[in-house]
Amino acid sequence: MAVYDGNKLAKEQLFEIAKMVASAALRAPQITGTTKIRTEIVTGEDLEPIIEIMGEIGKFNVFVRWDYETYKAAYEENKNFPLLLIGADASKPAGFDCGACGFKTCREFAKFVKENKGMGGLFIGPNCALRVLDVAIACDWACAAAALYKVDARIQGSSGGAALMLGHLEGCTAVLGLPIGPPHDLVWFSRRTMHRKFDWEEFKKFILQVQPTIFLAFPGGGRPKIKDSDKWWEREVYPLIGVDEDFVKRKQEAMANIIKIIERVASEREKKNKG
Amino acid sequence: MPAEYIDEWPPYSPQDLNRKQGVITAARMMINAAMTAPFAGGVPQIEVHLVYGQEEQEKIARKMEELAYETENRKLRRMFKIEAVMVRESDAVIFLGDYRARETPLDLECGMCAGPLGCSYVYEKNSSKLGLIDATDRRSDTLIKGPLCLARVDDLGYAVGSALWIASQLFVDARPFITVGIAGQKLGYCPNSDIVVGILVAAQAKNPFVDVHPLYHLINMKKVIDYTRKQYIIARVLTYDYRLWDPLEGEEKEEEEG
Repeated sequence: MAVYDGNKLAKEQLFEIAKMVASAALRAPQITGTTKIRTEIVTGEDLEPIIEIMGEIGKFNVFVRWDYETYKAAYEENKNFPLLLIGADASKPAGFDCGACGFKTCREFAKFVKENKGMGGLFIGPNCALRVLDVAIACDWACAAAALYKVDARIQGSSGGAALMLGHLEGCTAVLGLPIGPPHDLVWFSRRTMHRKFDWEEFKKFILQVQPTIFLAFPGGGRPKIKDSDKWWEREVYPLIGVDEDFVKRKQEAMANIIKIIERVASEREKKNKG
Repeated sequence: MPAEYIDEWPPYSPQDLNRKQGVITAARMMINAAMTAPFAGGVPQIEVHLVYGQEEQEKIARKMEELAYETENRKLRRMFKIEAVMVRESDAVIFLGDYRARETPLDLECGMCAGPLGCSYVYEKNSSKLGLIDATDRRSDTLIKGPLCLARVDDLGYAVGSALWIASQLFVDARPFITVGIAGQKLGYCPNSDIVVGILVAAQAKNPFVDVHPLYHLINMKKVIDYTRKQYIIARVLTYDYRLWDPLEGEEKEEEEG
């Protein structure tokens, strides 16, 4: 009789679980009955450009940075860690004339789609609300299936958006990413991968920007101070409303890098296909 | 020790109401799952109405039949009429609404609603001021007042999916319907939500939500029984005095009236 390394096999098993999770997503009930759910499982080297783009978005988007750091750590540990992509072409109206998209009829909405279809921050739009409901029900059944097999998973717009930018699930507009595993308690919640990746100063800056009302001094004077230190009465610190040139520059540089990554990956793939 | 009798016949009898209690318990578990479903940012945005009972379900079905004739869309009209029957046959109705879908969008500029137009689409096509949507004008000539933030609609989908998954785990039949949700919203359920999905739940021998035929609004169990009630008694026109004569025993010498 042989003895097996259970932890190693558990990591290998993630790929089999990803297939079963895709199956659950396809079985999910639908509101329209006509949304064509598509899935892809990305592993190994093909994860690298997705992670790279998430890193760029993470430079101006904190929740994506958190996802990027977790992916990077998971990929270092297990190169075949699977990312399940779930999506559909939700820009095709469902034919109900329900009005949720803001148009009276599906025909008018289809015209709006034709005139405006393109990439937004993380998704291609415009999209039909009832189709988005169907995609989301499928994604939720995928999450529940992963939970059934007891692997930590987290449905994400970040990985879905990065993958969409690289051409995954071509033809789909609403694509979400579901990392399957790694096999560990609390990977995507209370993330250990963020330990020692930020310090008090960075946290303080973050919380002051995100929750200014908690830290405002008396607002009745019309220009309340921000309590950015224990002895807040000693300094004249105020929130400044205006365009943050530095942040905008950082964002534009990251977006330019993303375009470079997409072009580089496309040419690498073309070379691979020719050779 | 009490003994609970459970059977699906006749509808709304004590034994049927005992059976429906199990479905209501399952519905509560489904609602747990909807409340704990993933949401962008973990932001609370789901309100729920759990509705059951003959009178309440009949009101919902009637509203759906009314809405069937307010739409020119033939597919939607057919769905309203058929799914109204399913509401009557259900043991419980769960309305899941997202109260942030129009009034408090995610503001991420994710592109789900209008691609490259970002959040400008929802803020400009609705009435808004300083990035605050004015939801007070609720008049609409469409069944759902849009445009909606589709990141929030996506979150509603997760809640619906989770409820349906638990139904599947608990072996109760359940399916999601936008027609049921629209009717419920207009009746005042999930009062803060601009989009509501209705999940019908049942635990009966035959799943009420599948395998229907083209005339289901005319030919379904309730109607078939009513047609029988309408017709059968008339057959008693073949009348005689059963005490004095049995037609099945052949010719009999009738007794003289004494």
